[in-house]
Amino acid sequence: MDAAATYLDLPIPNRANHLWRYTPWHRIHPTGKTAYLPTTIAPPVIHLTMLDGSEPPEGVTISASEGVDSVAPVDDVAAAFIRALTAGDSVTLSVAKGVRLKQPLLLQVEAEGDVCGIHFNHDIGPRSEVELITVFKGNAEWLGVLREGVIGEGAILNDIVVNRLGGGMMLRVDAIRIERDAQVKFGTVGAGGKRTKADLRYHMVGIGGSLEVKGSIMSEGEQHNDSHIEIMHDAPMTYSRLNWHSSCGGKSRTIGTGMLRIADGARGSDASQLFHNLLLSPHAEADSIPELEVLENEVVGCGHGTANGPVDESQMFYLQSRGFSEVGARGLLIAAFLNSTLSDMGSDAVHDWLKDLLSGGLASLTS
Amino acid sequence: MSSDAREAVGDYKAGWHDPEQATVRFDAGLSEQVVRDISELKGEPEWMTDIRVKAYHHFMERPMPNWGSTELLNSIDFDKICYFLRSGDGTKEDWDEVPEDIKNTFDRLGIPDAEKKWLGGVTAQYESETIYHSIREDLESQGVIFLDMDAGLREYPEIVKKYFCSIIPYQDNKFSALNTAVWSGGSFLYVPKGVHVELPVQAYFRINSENMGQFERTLIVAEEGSSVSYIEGCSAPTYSTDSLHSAVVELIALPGAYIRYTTIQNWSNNVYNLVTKRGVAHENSTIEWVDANVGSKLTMKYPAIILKGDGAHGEVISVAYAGEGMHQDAGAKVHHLASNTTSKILSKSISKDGGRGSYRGMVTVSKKADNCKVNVVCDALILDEKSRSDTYPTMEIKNSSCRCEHEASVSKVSDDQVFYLMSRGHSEDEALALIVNGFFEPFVRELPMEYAVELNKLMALEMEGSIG
Repeated sequence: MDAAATYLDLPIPNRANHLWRYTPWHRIHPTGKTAYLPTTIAPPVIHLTMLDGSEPPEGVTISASEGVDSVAPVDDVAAAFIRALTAGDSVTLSVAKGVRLKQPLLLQVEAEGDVCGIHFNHDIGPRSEVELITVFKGNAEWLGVLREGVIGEGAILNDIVVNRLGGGMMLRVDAIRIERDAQVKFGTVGAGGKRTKADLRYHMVGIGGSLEVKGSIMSEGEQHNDSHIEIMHDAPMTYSRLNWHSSCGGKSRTIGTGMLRIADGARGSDASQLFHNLLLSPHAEADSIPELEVLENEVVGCGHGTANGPVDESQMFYLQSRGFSEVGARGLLIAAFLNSTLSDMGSDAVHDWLKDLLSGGLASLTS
Repeated sequence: MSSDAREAVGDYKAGWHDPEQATVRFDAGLSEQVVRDISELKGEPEWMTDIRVKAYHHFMERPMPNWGSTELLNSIDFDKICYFLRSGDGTKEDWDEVPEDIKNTFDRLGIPDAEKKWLGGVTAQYESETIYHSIREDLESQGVIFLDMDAGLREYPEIVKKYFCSIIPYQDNKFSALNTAVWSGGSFLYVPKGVHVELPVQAYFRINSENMGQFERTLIVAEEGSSVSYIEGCSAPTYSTDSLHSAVVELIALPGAYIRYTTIQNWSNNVYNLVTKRGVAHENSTIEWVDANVGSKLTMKYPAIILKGDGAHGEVISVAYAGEGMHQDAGAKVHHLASNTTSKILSKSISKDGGRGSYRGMVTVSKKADNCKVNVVCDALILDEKSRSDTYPTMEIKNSSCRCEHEASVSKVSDDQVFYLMSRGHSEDEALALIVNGFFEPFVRELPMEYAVELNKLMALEMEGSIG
């Protein structure tokens, strides 16, 4: 069965499933008609460099490929849709075994036109050390991104995705497998797009793997940001932390749903997830559903937490008593809130670069 | 616990049954005629018959929930269930007039003793109807009405009509529709303005027959500035076939009132316990659900509070024990509709011998509800490698001044704690029972002394043989 037929064969997802509770499939589909499969696809322009603009070194390649093994579940409607759009073709970013990069890779994806789709396949070799920043930008009406991949044994990866789209919609699906002893950080920085749906699934299949997932989401205006993060501990002695910070201004709606699943046999797993929402406007809304499913009793610990609230008045009072204006104090507190996850996504170089990139967006939130 | 003691109480100590002595028993299966027959038998007003029939049609049309334990839900055979069974010949107010077999049943469950010692009133329901009811004279003289629901409808139709289905309409869910169609028994409690009922009132629900459905309906109205505490207990014999318990409980706390509703659910593990419980709290009133689920095959129960008036407070404290063949899908819902409302949810669960404990909760804060505070804590213990624990909390916050916190943790019994207690002379079983009792302590301290002692004993029994 080809990719289009596979998609059309799948049932429309049920909203009882929390993944689709707040952004049902038809609301993130390019036309809203779920049986319609667009035929005219504008492929985005992809540019891979080092952060300073130089060419990537030997051992790092990016190439078109087809027929790669799928990591995302075959019954995942969003992944199947993007596969159908891209006709099964993908772009493979490969880092060879043992390669250690001295500075971050910058992957820029510029999307224009009505409907854009891209399927990435990340092949991060064993014992490599990589920092990767992927920036989505442009004025496409709709962008679908499927990122599949395998993080090899003992690899160290900091992978940050930045959404800088104009006013379009973005559907992002991550399906990543983490092998033995790999140390991985995934960061998501959301500042663009009018409606975003992210379905991020990380599957810890190797013993001793370590995963940190960070989110720093700025919503304003009428933005709708829906992020679903699933972390599956399928191997013993695995470690994961999810820390998701969202600031919600204007009439925006921010949604964070998570599933932390410890499989039977994943002994010694240590996992937690935290969703923090800062409500900045009387019209903003924040929804969270952090779910746990624990099928193994020999765990180090497994927990989750959620906190929603406005900017703390006592902190505001303190900063104002130290000479900050009300706007200045508020801006500082919002920046600190978002920075607490942003600063933990990668190296200092990555952090400085992200701060510069996002400073404009932050100014509009605090005013 | 010694083997002698275990033998004396058995694994499930309420699991015996008496020979069925029905004076009226409907054939198994549900139809509009069955619904009309129940209503006619009780001599109900026309409006109640109409609402029953509408609810029946809604039940038939409404699909089974597609979340939770769908496999178990879909295995319920509604055609095999008996929807009405009357034992004895009406509600008695003198214990000596209760039929001998039924009296023995409740004697063994300790109900009359408890009434004498520390209760303000008692209702005992056997199968579909209440067989015994009493209330202290001093409460009656203050205007407190405590009746079974059928008598409440007969004697106070205007109050029942005003509040019946007002909090939980039959369209709410499939099982509230089923209950509304075939309800029988339950409690009707009305506390007049300013009256404080110092001693708790209690209802005890017993299913005795095989393939039985029990659908009690409870309505509690606490008028302005009044307070009351209501306790319900339940048990059933252990059969190889399944029974269904599907209750609806509606609480109305008017301004400044206080209602505490305590449940000790100890159904046998062949009972489906699918219950809808909801209360509405007006200005400065308080509703508390104190909920223990230690039995049943499948429990799906999420006590809810609608904080409708400014300054209202809601609290749900629950514990669940999921043993072999059990799925406790329990939780809590709180909806903040008014400003300055506060709520607290504390949920604790233990899974053992392949049991599954799930917390499923929801907290919503509406746009107009300023300065609300919400605190949710869920803790779970998994005692062996066959069991599982899940947490599914939902939080929908539409007001930026709200402070909302949720935390949950799943863990096992710490080896260090067991080692320490054993080094002080306890056996492994005793150490585990102590740790589990400590885990449940925030719940147990909310119970009346007699219940607390009983629950501790029950948990000690369940924990026996858990290690090694």
